[in-house]
Amino acid sequence: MKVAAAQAPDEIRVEAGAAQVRQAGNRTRSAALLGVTWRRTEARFATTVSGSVTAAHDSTGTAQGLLALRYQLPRLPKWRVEGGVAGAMFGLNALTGGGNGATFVRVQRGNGPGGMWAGTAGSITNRSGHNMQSSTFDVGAWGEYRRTSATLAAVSTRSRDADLLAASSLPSRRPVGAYTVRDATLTVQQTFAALDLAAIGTIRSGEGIATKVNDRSFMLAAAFYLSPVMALTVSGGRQLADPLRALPDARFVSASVRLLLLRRDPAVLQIDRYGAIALTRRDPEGGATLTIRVLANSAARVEAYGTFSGWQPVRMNWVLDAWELQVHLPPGPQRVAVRINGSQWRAPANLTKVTDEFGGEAGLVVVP
Amino acid sequence: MTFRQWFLISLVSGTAATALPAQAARLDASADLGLRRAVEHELVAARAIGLPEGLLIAKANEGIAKRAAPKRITDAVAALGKRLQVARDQLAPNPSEDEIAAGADALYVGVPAPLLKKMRAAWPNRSLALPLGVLTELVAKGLPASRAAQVVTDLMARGASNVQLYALAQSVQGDVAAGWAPEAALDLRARGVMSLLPPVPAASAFANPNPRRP
Repeated sequence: MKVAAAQAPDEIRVEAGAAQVRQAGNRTRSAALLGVTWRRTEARFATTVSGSVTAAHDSTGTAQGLLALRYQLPRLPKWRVEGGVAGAMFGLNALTGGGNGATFVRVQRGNGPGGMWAGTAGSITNRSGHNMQSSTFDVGAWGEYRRTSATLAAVSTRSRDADLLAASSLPSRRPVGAYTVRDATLTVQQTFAALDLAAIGTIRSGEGIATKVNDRSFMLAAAFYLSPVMALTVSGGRQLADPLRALPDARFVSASVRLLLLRRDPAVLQIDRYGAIALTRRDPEGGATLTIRVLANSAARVEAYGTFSGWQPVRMNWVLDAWELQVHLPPGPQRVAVRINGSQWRAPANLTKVTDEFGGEAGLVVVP
Repeated sequence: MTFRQWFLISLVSGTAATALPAQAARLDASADLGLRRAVEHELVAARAIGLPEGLLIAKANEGIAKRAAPKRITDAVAALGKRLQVARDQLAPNPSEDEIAAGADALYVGVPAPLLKKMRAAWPNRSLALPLGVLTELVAKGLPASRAAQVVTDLMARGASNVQLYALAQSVQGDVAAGWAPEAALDLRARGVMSLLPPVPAASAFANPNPRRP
């Protein structure tokens, strides 16, 4: 994503690997995968841009892109609004290829380690000059307990993309006209020392489909972190046809290398072994908002403390692929430190390090 | 992609500024009786000479939170009490609590006490809390205290704002992290800030030292 790279991103994630993909009724095909995700967080906005390419000798090849914006409501700290657009160019087997454009909006309410959301999305898929519309409504909830997190989502999709199911299913299952599918998906993630495991199961029922109304799928994924910035990932299973994104029904196995790169920022000139940084932004009302970000794997227990918390440890939040905490600081000299898995407290790398009378260290932040 | 997007959906969580409890001006309840008595002794002494007790209690709570030995905590509180007293005296006549705290921080990192008085002289009617914080940061970064204080004081005398002083510290921090020598970075950045300030009016032989009101 050249556009993203030119905008001084906060961080970049690159994933490259290979996959074996088999669509229903077709032979297995090999493909090379390359994905890049760029993310930048500001005071109330978080921007995510991602692009991926599936390179194959046949029509399995696709190119996809996503732009998502998340906004934190100023007067409702538990509420967030997320929206975005996604697009794809693809070539489905036995068809002449085409494209897909989708947009979505979602409202989230987070409460401690859990939350819920409701959203809607719409898309248009074009194949051979024909536009086919799809729309979805989804609700869901997520929760976290210690090292286990779970997400339950219910999605209702109405679509006229009959060709999608025709291309990815047996002919006897070809739908007629508009059809509706309802999915219930449970995602469970478990983290161990340097290992993330995820299991995703979906149960589907439908209307307007000639036969085989009920269906189900299951996927497994694992990421093993060799270091805070590098992981090996494997995944496999079956994905059901997704009319919203024009993704066909397929079974797959993939393996890739994931690199988490934190781009140098004017305020971030050095990353210590924790990859901890702290950025301050002046608040118009006085003081500043301090954002502490730590690059560590999701299995870690990451905490921050300082004058802002009366030196009581505060657990940081896992946000996409880094640990993060935002706190408001009053004017004057403030001190902060972070630690991982209960180890020694460290000053974020880009702050001036000061030692205290108790043998510890912290980073000094002077808030104007 | 579906897999990745599910992760995106399920993992996107808030980054709102966390509402954290304010630092209470009360000794942590987990302090044992011996520590409580020792800290109370220091508080009585501070109260008697009008020092802000809250800063001493916060220091004791910091030590408790960091699981320091009671003796170490008591020593730290006593040492802070002395620094607060020195800071208050050097920043006389009417330093605010923020100024006294910032002055004590500056003393902790090695700023000589007389430099606080010089800074007060340069900025008698404005809060020194931020300039002292900037000075503390520069000295903690390895700059000689006298040189850092001279630069900050010169900028204050020339009318630099708090924002400009803050920007100076940020710039020096970035330069040092990029490999610059601290003093070279400070000189360069100070010249940059200085160039933005209005010039000092030259002394004029024709200036009337006692202008008559119209």
